[in-house]
Amino acid sequence: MKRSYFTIFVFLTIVSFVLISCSITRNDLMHSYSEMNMRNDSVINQNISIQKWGVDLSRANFGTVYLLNPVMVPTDHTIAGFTVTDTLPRLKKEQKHVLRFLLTSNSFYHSVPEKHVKTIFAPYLAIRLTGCKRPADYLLISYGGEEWALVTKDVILKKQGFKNRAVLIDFGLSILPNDKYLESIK
Amino acid sequence: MKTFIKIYILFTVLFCDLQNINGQTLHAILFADTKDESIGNYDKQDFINVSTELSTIASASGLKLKTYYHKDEMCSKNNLVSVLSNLSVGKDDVVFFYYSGHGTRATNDASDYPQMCLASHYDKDFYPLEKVLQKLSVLPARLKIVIGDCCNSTSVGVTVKDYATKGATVLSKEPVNAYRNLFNGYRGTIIASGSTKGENSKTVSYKDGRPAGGSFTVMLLATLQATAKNGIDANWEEILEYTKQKTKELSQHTPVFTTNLKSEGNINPNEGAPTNNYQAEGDDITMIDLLAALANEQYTAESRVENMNKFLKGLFANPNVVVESVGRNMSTVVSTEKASDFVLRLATAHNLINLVEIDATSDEQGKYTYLRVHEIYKNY
Repeated sequence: MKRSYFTIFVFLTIVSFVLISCSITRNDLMHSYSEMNMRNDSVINQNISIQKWGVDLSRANFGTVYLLNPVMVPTDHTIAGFTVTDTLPRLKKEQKHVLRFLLTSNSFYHSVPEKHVKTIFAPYLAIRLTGCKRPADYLLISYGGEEWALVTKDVILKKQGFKNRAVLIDFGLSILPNDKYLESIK
Repeated sequence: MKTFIKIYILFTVLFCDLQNINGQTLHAILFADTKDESIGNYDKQDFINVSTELSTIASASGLKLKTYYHKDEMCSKNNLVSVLSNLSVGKDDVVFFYYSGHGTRATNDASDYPQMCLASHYDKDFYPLEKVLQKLSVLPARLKIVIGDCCNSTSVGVTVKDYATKGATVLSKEPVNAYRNLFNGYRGTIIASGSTKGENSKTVSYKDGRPAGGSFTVMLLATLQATAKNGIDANWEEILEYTKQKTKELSQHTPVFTTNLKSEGNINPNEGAPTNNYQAEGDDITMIDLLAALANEQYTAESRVENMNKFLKGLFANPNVVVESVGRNMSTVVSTEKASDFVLRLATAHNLINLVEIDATSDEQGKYTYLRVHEIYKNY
């Protein structure tokens, strides 16, 4: 009896994995992954986010997504000083999986500190975070300088460069299809 | 401060007959975002490197250096607009504009060149690099050079703006001729920036972690210095093209440049050697210029030594103030001495043609309490 339960559990796990993979494919992300020639074993590792951010993002929940205008003089509604121009629908389940994958995979971080870039940190998306053991309220994504940041208590906690920009842009386009800015930097 | 004024008057009376060699001016406009939390230290190094090179170029080419330097809180759009609006130049002058800091561009920017952020995060304060060239183009100056070491990548929300080696430097004959050729032998305009549309410009550090500056600036100055040191007969296009290739190899971004130049014929290679023309007079005399004047050999050796102590009292808080001399990399200290020894060395110096102030602190009276300099000599 125990053996058949175990067999069902293994089967369900495999099915879940395949389904998640398929949903990622629908978001055109697998195309980017294959372009990067990523190995299958470089997948989710909760330690990565702790090493990089000091926060376990493998268990984070992602809530509302906000659109920002980072170069506008601050208005009433800001996140870490950046003006919020629109509130977008919450992330879909597969988008959350993708984002969690991006944040917890070594492939999206520089192994050695990257050279500083000479452009302003100008985040386009802010994503509400919940469920982190250590406080982290928002994730900011800045495409221009290829940087992302964690915000806590309306202040940037940590900022760092990301690799494989094309995948981050694809992720942005899955939230904002046909977005002019994201299309222009693709 | 009274003593300082007395020295000023004394030197004005004693040596008022000295004149600039040819009356041409090198207008050096530098803006550097040295307070930025991520790249400020690199921008500061760029500022030091470029300002020192301009002093070398002025000494080599015989151009009188006029500075419009804006770093720290002075790096702003308002100050840039003010400098460009009030700039008064002669027809044979050279204008050199340089910016180190953050840059960006709008999605629909037509220009190949970035907008400078000028220490601001807001679109309203950004200023296009090409607009600087446009402003300078209408001025009568012979040669206008516009250089920006900043990113050229697109940021959301940005709008299109309306507009239509170690040790002291020793100048031998080769660099003098090379710099004279580049800065006295051309008429027209140059605009250059560290990266192509959509790219980010990056910074570089020395092996021990100290900031070396922006990749583009580091490679541009290295190319200029190598050309000068080896007496290579290079033109501006060759220098900028080589800088482009080397920057690409170093940091994987590609500088962009446009030149519109006309050669004014070969410069006479046998023209006289550069000289120390610093005088203790003029509207914009600075403390470092006064110290350079103490090494001016057009004054008699006796008068320089006689006035030495007045300089010491007038310019330094006390005789024990530390004076550091740094090498050509602008960071390695090659000598540390007391102000009294430094002033004595200047008064008896031979062939010292320029002094560049790298860093300094001063007391309430404006006298130095610390000074770091780079010295430029000639050897012929």
